Order: sequence, then structure tokens, then C-alpha cells
Amino acid sequence: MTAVKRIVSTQADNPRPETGRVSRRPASEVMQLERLGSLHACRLSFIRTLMRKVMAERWAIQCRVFDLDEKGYGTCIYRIATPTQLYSLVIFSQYLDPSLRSDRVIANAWDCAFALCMGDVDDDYLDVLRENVPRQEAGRCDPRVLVLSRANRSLRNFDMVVNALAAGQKPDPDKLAKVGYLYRTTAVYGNGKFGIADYPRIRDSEDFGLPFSAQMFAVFLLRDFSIRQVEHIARCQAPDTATTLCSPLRRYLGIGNSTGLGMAPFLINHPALINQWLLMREAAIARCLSQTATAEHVEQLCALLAQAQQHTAETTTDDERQTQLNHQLEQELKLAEEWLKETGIPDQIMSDRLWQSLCEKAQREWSLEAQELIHSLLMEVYPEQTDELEQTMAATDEFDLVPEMSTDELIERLRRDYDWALAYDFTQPDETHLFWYRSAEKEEPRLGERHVDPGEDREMPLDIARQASGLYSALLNWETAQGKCTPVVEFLLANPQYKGITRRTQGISELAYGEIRANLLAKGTLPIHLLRCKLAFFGATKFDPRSDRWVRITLFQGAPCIEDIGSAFADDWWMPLKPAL
Amino acid sequence: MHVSLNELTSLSRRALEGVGFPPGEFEDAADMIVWLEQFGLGGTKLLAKTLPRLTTEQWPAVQKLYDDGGGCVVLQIENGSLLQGGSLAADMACTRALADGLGVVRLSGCRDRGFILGYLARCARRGYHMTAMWCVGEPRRAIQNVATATGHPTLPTIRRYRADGGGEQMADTHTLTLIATRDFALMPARDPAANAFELLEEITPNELAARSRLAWDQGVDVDADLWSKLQALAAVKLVEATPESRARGAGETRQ
Repeated sequence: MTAVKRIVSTQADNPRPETGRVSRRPASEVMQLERLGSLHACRLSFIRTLMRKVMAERWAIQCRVFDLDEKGYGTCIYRIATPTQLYSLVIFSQYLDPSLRSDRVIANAWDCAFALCMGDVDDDYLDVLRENVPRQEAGRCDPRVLVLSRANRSLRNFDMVVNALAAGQKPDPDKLAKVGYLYRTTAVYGNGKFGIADYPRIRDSEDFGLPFSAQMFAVFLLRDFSIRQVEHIARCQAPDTATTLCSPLRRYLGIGNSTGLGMAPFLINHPALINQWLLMREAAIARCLSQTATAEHVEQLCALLAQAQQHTAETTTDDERQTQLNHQLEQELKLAEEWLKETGIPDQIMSDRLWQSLCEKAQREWSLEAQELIHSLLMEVYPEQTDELEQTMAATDEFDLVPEMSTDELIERLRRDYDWALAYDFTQPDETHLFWYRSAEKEEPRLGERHVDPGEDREMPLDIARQASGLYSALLNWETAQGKCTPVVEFLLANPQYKGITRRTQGISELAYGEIRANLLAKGTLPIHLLRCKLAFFGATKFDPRSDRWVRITLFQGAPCIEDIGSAFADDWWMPLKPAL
Repeated sequence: MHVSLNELTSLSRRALEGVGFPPGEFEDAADMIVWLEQFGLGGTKLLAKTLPRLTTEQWPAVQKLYDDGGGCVVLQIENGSLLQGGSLAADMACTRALADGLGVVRLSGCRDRGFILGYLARCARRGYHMTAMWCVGEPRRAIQNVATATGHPTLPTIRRYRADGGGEQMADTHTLTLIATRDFALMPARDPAANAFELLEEITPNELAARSRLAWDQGVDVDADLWSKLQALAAVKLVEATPESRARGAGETRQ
């Protein structure tokens, strides 16, 4: 084919951090769906980053209004002073008919609703918020609101904790180990939803510029509210006998979250951001693997492995598959600990590549969960290699067409970057068994079975593998018909239906970790892997799948409480263990 | 209706997808609308005018009427809207500019040409200097719009002239002319002696940046009727809920 004259390739401005002598893992390994669904939280997870910032900058957080009745219903306002700004978190707690309590996004009422706002909130604005925040999607907010969210009480814990405190007793830590929270959020909205502030308004701010940091901060304050609220209700119930939560239990309480398929399209529609998250994680792993192990480091990792075993043993779920994975993980972590203790630091050569040897052994012999958790633990050993990468976790998903690229070049890029997609045979019914659609009920994304469920004519375009495959065939046909290659713009003038996947293919060349390498239409696809990947970056622990499309997790369990701000902070709160009282 | 820019982007994209715009095109078209709105140039008002036609028309074919094999191309869009793939004309101009130094593309039979402003900055950030020209109004006393965007990640300068040729000039009010170059020296410049062109308005990049900041900080106002229409168009792609989809489709029950 005739070559087209020149190519201008759009260069991503995302940084490529140095990794030392060990290279980052290839995308063909990292971006497998099942591996992404085995990720664990790490030092780069957003709640870890947030806590480091809050503690280092000593944010001043004050509960300014706590106007609750004896049942805990009413209004609570927090005032937050960061080094540069004032914010308020306004929480409305209300009675909820138990029959209406649902974690689904299609619910219309919740135990509490809250909003993180810029600046102070006066009485007039409080009235506006009271009118709209409890209605969530049905209300309208304005750009003073940064985050809008709601949460439901944990039926298993809330009354148990209130009753124990009212009786002057400590709540049973075993029960808190099973469910480590009093409230579970069911959606946390940011970025312009329902009239609130667009993300670019805060993107350049000192406080909440990193991804999801404002949302995570709102959830962090809800945790404090949940503790204050149960203590308040207990006090009202039994003023003479009521006690408060002891410090270890306060820290052991996190906030739950229930997540469904709504999270899945985000991962497909933000390839630049996903690439950035994984690029930083992989860079951190490579840097840690490059380090020369010392006896002290080995001892540190052994201690972390032991802690992780116990944390995993204390993680319970009704899901059979996850239960088996947890058991296997616990055993493999023990094997890793034993191997490290036996191996020790025999000589210089071994110590130079001890971590690589450990990870190679994990890859050969142990589960994906074990492999990825060991990576997370290694980052704990080398915070100085990891933490600076948190500043480059943001990216903007703006792809421009490269119209002058030749169709030959585009075909080559498809063969190079989408070889995994071209390997699927989409004439086989099993490869298109599923389809994604948006329900009329609150536009909730759902999965349907093709030729069985209604809606395949309104399928969401999350079928990246199939689109890439279609583009490849169309380009070959185009070149045959034209008798030559042409600039892509000529192809698109005649075939506008391929513009989206063409631009994505061109852009993804700069983003090695931008594309999840799976056909999401295939029979047997487990969407829960997508959810877990994103939740691990949030910092979630205790994954509790409720089905293959819906998961509950815990955030901030073990994190410092607001009364800890200003005290020494060891940043070792991740993977907390049940307090021994 | 006061909305955030992200809401406007999201709903515009889904509405145009509902109309039948293909993937890639519905995003580009929506982004052009939002760009105009973000910079105070009335994107949603223009959309409100053209929306009834967009919802009833077939996607227009873009045909090449003339191609000199070098920098000059004439395309025909059959009286389609610029939102319907018209941005490819700018991409064609860029492609020819890269190959031959200067690309000139005329897109004839095109309406809603003002939306092209929303695409010029995207071309500029790829390193192209762009000029777009189109006339509106009566052919004998037309207003010529000229927008230039220079090749770095910044905002265009927008100028509007009265293209009055003393009553003798018949302006073509259905064509968009796009000029692209990577060489600043090849940018078209107005002859100071050309009195026939009266400068009516000039919007500088600084002014546009201020408008953009305001939109990010405060959101934008959109006509409630248009908003409802966009919601209705977006709803075309929604699937009616059933007890089965509510449970199985969202994974409330184990698979």
C-alpha cells in the first residue's frame, strides 16, 4: 500500500515515572479482567492519600451543629478548615420506613443524606439544602455543593451498638469484625451531578484536586457522625448507664459502601484515568522490586504478611467464591511468610532480587489475590518509593482524532494494541451472549441476556473488543475497495460509525494500561471484577460480593478519627485487626 | 434551568445518541454545543433551533465534489447540520495542511456552521492554526463570521465582520470555509485597506477564558423546554424496567 506522507502522533502529557532496574509489567498481564478483580488497596489508594494529607496538614474539623432528637433524627453540620479553604459538611438524618431501606440506586429514601459544601452554611442556605439534599437525584443543588451522598444504617450493627452503649457495655468486636460499620453509602456523587460543582472547579485546588478526594472526605466525616449519633441515641435512651465507644473500637469502625453495575461504565469510559491509576501502581511495584532487601525489610514484610493473614481470616462473606478465595489467600500468605523466613538474606545477589524472587514464586504457585496483595504489602515496606506517585494519579480523558494517520498505520495499531480483541470470534453466540443497557429506573446500568431480555436494540457501547474487531474488518475492506491506504479522515467520511473506536485506538497507543482486556459481552463475564478494581483504588477492604454484579465493601476501617488529627500518625492503619478488649 | 457543564455534556451526548448519531459523532457534536455554551456563545440556543430538524433527518452523506490532490477540497453535506459529521471537514483541512503546508476545505450545503467554533480549539491543540469563515443573513448584506485559533492549547479569537461589498457582492450563506496550516506565516490576514469588511465584534482569548471560568464556577442556564426535549431524546435509549431486569439485570439475585 502507498504510504501517507507524515504522521503527527498526539503525545500524552502523563508522566512516565522512573522505575529503576525492574520494568513495569506488560499491559497484557496487568489488564486481564480477573487480575484487576483481584486487586487490593495500597498506599496509593485514595483514602490512604487523603488521610496522609489531612493528618499532615492538620485539618481543623469541628462539629458545629449537632441538633438531633432522642432517636438521632435531625441536622448535623461540620466545619472544616484546611490551610487554604473553609468547607462544611451538612448531614440530614431522618426516619426511614424499614420497608423502604434499600442499597439499590433505585431507592428514593435513606436514613441520612449529606452534602460537602464550599464555605460556611448560613440558615438560608441550610433551608435550601434541607429542601434538596434528602431528595438526592430528585433535588437540585448548586455549585457550592462539591459532593452529594446518602447512606443507610447497617441493620446488623446499628441497634446492637446503641443497645450495648446504652447498657454501659462495649459492643461485641466479633460482630464489628463481620460488619465494620454503622452506615453504608449507596452513591457518592461529584462532578456536576444534579447541579453540584463540576470537577474542574476543584481540580486545581490544594485540597481536593486528586481523583475522588472530595467524595472520600465526605465519607470520612460520615464515619465520625455515625459514632456521634449512636453515642447520642444511647445517651438519650439511658442517661444513667450509657457509655461511649472506646478509642480502639472507634477506629475499628469504618463506613460501608454498596456498589452495583453503575461503576462499570466509568472504567470503560475513562481510559486515560484508568491508565494513570495503574501506571502509578505498576511504577510503584517496579520500584519496590528494584530495592535491595535487608534483614529489617524482610522482618517488616513478614510482620505485614502475618497481619494480612489475620485480617483476611477476620473477613467474612456469604459469597462462596470469595470465601474460598479468602481461605486460599490466607494459606498462601502464610506460605509467603514461611518462604521469606527460610530464605532470609543468604547473599548479596539474593538480597538484590529477593523481592523479584518472591513475586516470581507467587506468580508460579499462588493465586492472583495473593500476587496482588504481596505487591500492596511491598509498597508498605518502601513508602519513600511509593507515596510521591500519589500526586500524579489524575488524568483528563480528552482524545483528539489524528485524521492524517494512514489506514495502514491504524491497522497496525489495532494488531499491536488490540490483538486480544481481534482474537475473539464474534460470530460465536457465546461471545455476544450479554449486552449492557441503561434502565429507565434512574438510568441504572444493567446486564441483559441477548435474545432473552428486552433492550438489546438500545445497547450501551461498552463493547470495545467487538468495536475494535469491526473497525479492523472495515479498514481491510476499505483498503481493498480503494486499492490503497488513505488518511483516516477519508475512511471516516465514508464510515462515520467508526469514529469513536478509531479515536480510541489512536489515543490508547499512548496509554498502555487504559484498556481492560476482556470481551464484556462474553458468556460468563464477571462484572464484579470491574467494580473491585475501582474500589481497590478507592481503598476498599473486606470485599463482600452479594452477587456477580453487586458488592459491599468497607472504607476507612482502622483510619485515624478526627480527634486523632494533630497526634502522631504512623500511616499503618490499613488492614486493621479486631481489637482485643 | 440551571445546570452544570458536566450535566449539559452528559445529557447532550445521550440525547444525540438517542437521535441516532453514531459513537464518536454524538460526543463531538455535544462537545461543540457545550463549548459554545461554556464560552458564552449560545450553544444551547443554536441547538434549540436545529433540534427539530436533527430529530427528523437521516444522517447526511458527505460527498467530495472536488479534490485537487493537494491542499484544496470541496465537500458537500446535502444541507445537513455541521453537527452531523461536519467537524471532519476541519480534520480534512488539517490533513492537507500537514501534507502540503496549507489546507483549504469548503463544506457546502451546510447549516448550523457556527458550531465549528467548538472544534477549532481542538484542532489548535494539535498544533494547527485554523481559520473558519462563514456568512449569515441576506446574501447581499451578509455578516461574515471569522474565527481564528492558533496552534497551541489556547482559545480562538473570534471576529465578526459585515461583509458588505457595496451591494454588489452575493455572499454564499450555505458554505463553511476552513483554512488550516502549521506555518503561522500562511495564516490569512485581513487587508487593512479592505473597507468593505466592517469589524462588528471581536472576542479575545482572555474574554473567552473569563467566560469559561464563570461557567465552571457557576454553571449555565438552559431553557427548560430544551432540557425536557433533550431528556426525552436521551430516554429513547433507556430500557423499560421489569421485575426481572430489576432483580437479575442489576444482580440483586445470585446468577
